[in-house]
Amino acid sequence: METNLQTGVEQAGKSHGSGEVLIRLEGVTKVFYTDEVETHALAGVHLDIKKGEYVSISGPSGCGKSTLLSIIGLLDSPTDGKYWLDGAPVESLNLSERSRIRNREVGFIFQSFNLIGDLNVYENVELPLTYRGMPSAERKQRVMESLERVGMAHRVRHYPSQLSGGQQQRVAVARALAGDPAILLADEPTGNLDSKNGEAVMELLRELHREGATICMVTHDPRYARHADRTVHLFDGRIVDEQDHRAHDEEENPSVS
Amino acid sequence: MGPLVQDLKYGLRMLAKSPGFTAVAVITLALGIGANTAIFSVVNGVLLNPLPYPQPNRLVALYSKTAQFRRWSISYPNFLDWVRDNRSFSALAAYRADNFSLTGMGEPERVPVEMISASFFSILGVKPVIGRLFTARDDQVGAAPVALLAGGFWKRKFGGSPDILGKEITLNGTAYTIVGIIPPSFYYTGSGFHRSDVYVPIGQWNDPTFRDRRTGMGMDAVGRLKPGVTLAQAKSDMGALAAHLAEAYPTADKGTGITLVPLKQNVVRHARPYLLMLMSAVGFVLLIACVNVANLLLARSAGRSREFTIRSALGAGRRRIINQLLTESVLLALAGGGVGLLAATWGLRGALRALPEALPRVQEVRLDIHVLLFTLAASFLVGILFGLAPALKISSTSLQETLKEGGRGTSSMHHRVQGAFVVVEMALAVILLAGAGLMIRSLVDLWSADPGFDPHHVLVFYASFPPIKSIGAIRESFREFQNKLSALPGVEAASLTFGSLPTQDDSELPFWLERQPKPATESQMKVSLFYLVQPDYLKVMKLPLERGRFLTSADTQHAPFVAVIDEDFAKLYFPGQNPIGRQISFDILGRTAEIVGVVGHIKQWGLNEGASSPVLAQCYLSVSQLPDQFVPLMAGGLAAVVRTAGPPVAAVGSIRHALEQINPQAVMYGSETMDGILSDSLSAQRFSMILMAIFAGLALIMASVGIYGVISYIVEQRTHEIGIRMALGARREDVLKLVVAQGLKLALAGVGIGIAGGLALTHFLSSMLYGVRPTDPLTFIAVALILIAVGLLACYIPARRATKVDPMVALRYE
Repeated sequence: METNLQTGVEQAGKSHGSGEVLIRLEGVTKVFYTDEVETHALAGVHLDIKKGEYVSISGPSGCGKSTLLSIIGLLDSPTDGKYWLDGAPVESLNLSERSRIRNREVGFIFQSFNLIGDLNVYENVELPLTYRGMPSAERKQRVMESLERVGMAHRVRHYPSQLSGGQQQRVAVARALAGDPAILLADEPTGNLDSKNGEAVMELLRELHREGATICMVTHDPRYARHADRTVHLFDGRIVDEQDHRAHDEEENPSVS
Repeated sequence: MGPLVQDLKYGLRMLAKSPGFTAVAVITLALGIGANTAIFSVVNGVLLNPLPYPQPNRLVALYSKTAQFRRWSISYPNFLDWVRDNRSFSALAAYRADNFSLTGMGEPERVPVEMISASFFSILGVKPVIGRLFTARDDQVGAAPVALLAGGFWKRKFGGSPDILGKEITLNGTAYTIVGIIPPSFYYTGSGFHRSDVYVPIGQWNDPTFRDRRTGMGMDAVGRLKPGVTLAQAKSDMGALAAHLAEAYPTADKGTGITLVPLKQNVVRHARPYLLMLMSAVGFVLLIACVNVANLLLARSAGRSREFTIRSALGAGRRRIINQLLTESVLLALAGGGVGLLAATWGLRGALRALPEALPRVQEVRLDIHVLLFTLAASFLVGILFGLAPALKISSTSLQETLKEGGRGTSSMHHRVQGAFVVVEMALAVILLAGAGLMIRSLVDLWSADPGFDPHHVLVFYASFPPIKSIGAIRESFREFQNKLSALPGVEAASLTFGSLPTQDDSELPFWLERQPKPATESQMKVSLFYLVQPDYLKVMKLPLERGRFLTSADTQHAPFVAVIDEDFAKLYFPGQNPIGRQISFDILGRTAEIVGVVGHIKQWGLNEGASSPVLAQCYLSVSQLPDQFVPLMAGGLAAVVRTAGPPVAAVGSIRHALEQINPQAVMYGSETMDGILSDSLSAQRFSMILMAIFAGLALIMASVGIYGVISYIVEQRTHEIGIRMALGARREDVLKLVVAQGLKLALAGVGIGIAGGLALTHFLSSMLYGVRPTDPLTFIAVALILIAVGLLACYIPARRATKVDPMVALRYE
């Protein structure tokens, strides 16, 4: 699979003329069928996310933000359309392959943190690494590095219920980072936090981005959307607008590069 | 009353609202309570209920006591001295089972007769339906022969005619006048007593052997203690009496004592350990059922936490909530108890019909008021027991906690309680399975145990000849009968036999060895089982001849008196020596025999015979060499063993015909295959094993349903977590492993605790086991593997379901 993915990079790079593209969606649709009702969650989405880019996806409730994020994160597969991840087509992988790629290439940060209550901080962060069959010593090193990066290394033995919301989300970020993924996907990461903690998490993401992480974040809060390089606006399952904040920021504050 | 009625109404509504849950809980409880009710009704009928006689606690069984036997037949002269000299009993009665030939009423037939003392029925408080009981004047030599008829026999033979009194029936050629009818409902389960058609006075029997103080002739006794006399006082009194007799008759009575046992204890002593074991087993089944239902309720309570939060918010106190939940659980238990009672009625009827011989007092086993009260009490207790854990759990949940969990109830504490319950039921199931496994292994070993002879294709039956005046004529009829039997088509060999009959009857003879002075008293003599047989006995039983020869047709009454001994006799009394040619003297027979051969040992005391059996030495004497004075005794009732080429029962008709040809008044009765006799000898073990296996099977099913239910529930509760894991890259096999490992952990913990518990408890089964130790590693390993396999299977189904979790759906749940 690793080889195919590499080959895919070359093919995608050749066909689209850019080696920097990490995520490429072409005409992605998603239809949910319930009884006799068809819901078109996504209707022909075209989206490129480059390596090292920080993209936010915004839009009103029910516009398809989370569905898009799920497809990007290989939690779900598109009904139609093409999807290349790091140059490899991934839209029609089987469950097992999707699990493997998700584990190695994607780091999730959820609105409600989704830490496992019965596992302590260390075990929660270690969890995705155990699915890779990584040796224990290496796991330990990665876990501690990740926790130090988010400033939670001093709480390794604590359980989620013993942490504040902000702390839980930092642990969730550490978990997402531990596997050194190609992209971090954050679904309303501040949705369950107060403004102070929300700001702290956003600052953490920005810091990670400055260090080179590729981030794709769903948010409906314009303040947080502006933290990203670029905001993609979704409405009724389509991308209706894109804003490049870098240019805007440069205009507002030329010292920011 | 208000809140209770409200709770009852609400409880009924809640149970009706979830018919699936209610049905599963009621069935589970019905199995547990039903099994307990069934076994308790047996325990109640056999062990707890008083014997069906007035003041039953005053009834005592009496035996002679020798060095070998604690319960030994009483000699009649000694019994008469006991009656005369004791100060403890208001009355003593002797009884002896026999079979008499009934003639003069169509086809001659053999009827079971009990020879009894005159006071027998009055001691037991039995009054005749019509007529009178025996009097002391009837119960002596020379008195006019009189008989009492059993009610059933009276109805069967005489149509229940009231003018039967004064009529005569002919038994063993003697006309007996019928003086009374015993109620058809009467029965007596004392040892040595059989269900009889006719009762005759024992004191009229003038047989010299019976009147010999040295012999017991299979006679036992029962007595009624005088008011105010305790058993201990009676024991002391009878001990002094025995000492006095030993002084007066040292040859017969020195070293002989008297055993007194409360009659009820005497009747139920063999059944007690089996019944207590079964009661414990069903107790375990009920506990497992309780744990299962408690788990169901816990799972259900998680779904109802919001309801109770609202109730609390509205002011319901903890006690009020506990009361409501307990009302629901008691309602469930009562419903389970009701269904269980029905199941017990059917189950018990079937079990007792299948194995009626396995238990004493089986006639008294019924669902009486005590059983109903037991079921009611058990249901209440069970309802509180299994309802308490969920009630306490839910009532202690804080409002804030419930609201925080959003009614999802994923607390790991909840899982831990349920996990602990599963561990408990797995452990209980291991203990039950280990017990059942040991019982099964014992029975298999017993079935395959070598009885010392070949029981296949052997028919055993009894025959009696009418009184014949000449001893020579009796001997001739024995020879003729044996010849005719041997000549029958399909019969390979036949032998008449008297004395001991393998696993059926035991008869012993005291003896002393050659070159030793005759012991001064009988109790100082050695004792051997004796088998009075014909030469073909060796062929019929296929006994291995170890040394010398067996009895032959040349061993007649005019030839030197010879004996064949078994290997145990040789080992015991001629260790390291050749016993052939050595001599042994039999006091009662008044003869000295030369040992001419050694044969293999027969398991006389049953297939589980061990070194602790009372007498192991066996000797064979020739029917032809039986001293004259014993010949009429043998003619009154002897047995025969026949080896057939085909099925043994097919030979019954031709044997009966052959007997009629010798003497039309002779009667054949009690025919049975030797295989059947051996099988019957294991009926108690088989009964216990079948029930243990059923209960262990129930436990296994319940435990597997329990672990399945809990793992299913946990999977359902962990759907969200599984979704997270899958989002983080867990593959289906990772999820499968996760769930199965959780179940396996519980199963292993349960099996570990169960094995420890089993090792501690199975030693109580020691007395019921054969050929297998209570800690038999093979049984425990097999049980552990079965439980783990079942546990794995029970986890696999919910684990498979867990792998189907769609992370999208699970995460959307947030």
